[in-house]
This record gives sequence, structure tokens and C-alpha cells, in this order.
Amino acid sequence: MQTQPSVIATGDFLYFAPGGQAFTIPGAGTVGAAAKPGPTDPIWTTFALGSVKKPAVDKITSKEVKVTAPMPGTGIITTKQVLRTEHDLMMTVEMNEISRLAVAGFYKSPLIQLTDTGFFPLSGPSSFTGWLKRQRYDASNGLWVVDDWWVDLNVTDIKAGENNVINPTFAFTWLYSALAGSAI
Amino acid sequence: MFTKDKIEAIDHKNPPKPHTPEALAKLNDAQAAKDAAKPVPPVAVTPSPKP
Repeated sequence: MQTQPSVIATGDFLYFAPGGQAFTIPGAGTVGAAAKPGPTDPIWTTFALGSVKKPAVDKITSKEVKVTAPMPGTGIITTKQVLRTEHDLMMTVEMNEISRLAVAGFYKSPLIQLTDTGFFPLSGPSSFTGWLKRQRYDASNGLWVVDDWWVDLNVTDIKAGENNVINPTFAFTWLYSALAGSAI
Repeated sequence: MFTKDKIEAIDHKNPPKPHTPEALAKLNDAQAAKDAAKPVPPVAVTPSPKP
């Protein structure tokens, strides 16, 4: 992390480990909110998302509650405090490639395994969960943040962009896990 | 409670090699069998309040 504010032209790398898949590093387990694979485990690259077309966009929406109180001797009530009692953190990102995750996420099929030769739209779970690892690099290959999010994965669009290249859009919703966070 | 010390980067220039289809299927089967063999923890029973 920079000690002083600095302009950063960023490039993002995304990796995804789907929930329910087995991993072996740092120990044997099944990917879940309470079980995160180590960074050298092959599961991070087995269900590859592809390369990021543009850096991801994060959005936080909060439910605001304004607490008001009178100013003494004025007869005027003003805002004394703002509480934000519900938070929602989302990341949307457009990718360059079509992946098995993009197809399964968009067509709502079950997770497409490496050995599968087909998929069945609308027959999968209503959501995919898994670990999303985002690594943000600056223009000089400096790693300035690593995000580990336990997320709901959704694919909202699978449209053809410039030059007839299909760019799937992923929407990741942050879900609570004690193992989630960001290293800077 | 966040555990930032356990957030580690993947070496993006030399990322882990993906599983082969056979290796992943074998691993998933073995882990599923292991999970199924785990003893189910006993369910705590709350005694009914005395009348």
C-alpha cells in the first residue's frame, strides 16, 4: 500500500473457487464460507473466469436511518446522527472470454465440470457461491490490494461487444464470511 | 472478525496449474466420501421448562 496518495492505473486479475469443490491446500476440505483454499491450490485456475476487460466496479448501497433531535432553545430539529443499518457490496466486471462459469452463471445451469460435454439451462441452483480473489496491480506491476470475497456469482449479460467478441458481465455480491477481507 | 493475515495473493505470472478433469473428479469424489463419513455431531436437546 502506498504511504502517500498516488494515481494508479490498475489492472485486475480475478480467480474463482466454486463452493462445494474439493481442495487440498493448505489442507483437504470443501470450498465453503468457512473453508478457503490456499493461493497455490489448483482449484483457483480450474474454473477460470478469464481476463478482465475493464477494471471491476464496486458499489456499496446502504440503508440509511437518520436520527433527529432538537437544537436546544431553537425549536428546530436537525439530524443528529446517520446510521447505516444495512450494507450491500457488489462488484460488476466484464470479461474478455466465455468460460464455463459464464455459461453456467448466465443460463442458470449446474456448475459445468471439466468432463461435461453439455449443459442444461434453467436446471441449476438459483445462485452460485464461491471464493473470489481479486488482485489489483498498478502500472509498474505493484500489487496494491488482494481482495478475498465470499460471494454470490451471477452473470447478468452475455452480449457481443466490439468486433463481435462476446463479453460476459459478472455480478458478485459480497456475502459474510469470517475469512473474507482485503490485504493492502 | 477479519483475518487479513490469511489473505494471500496468487502468483499471477506463475499461477497454479489447473486440475485435469480426471484429477478433479477423483478429488471431489474422495472429499465427498470423507465428508459423508464424518460423524454427525449430536444435537443439543433443550429440556422443556418445568411447569
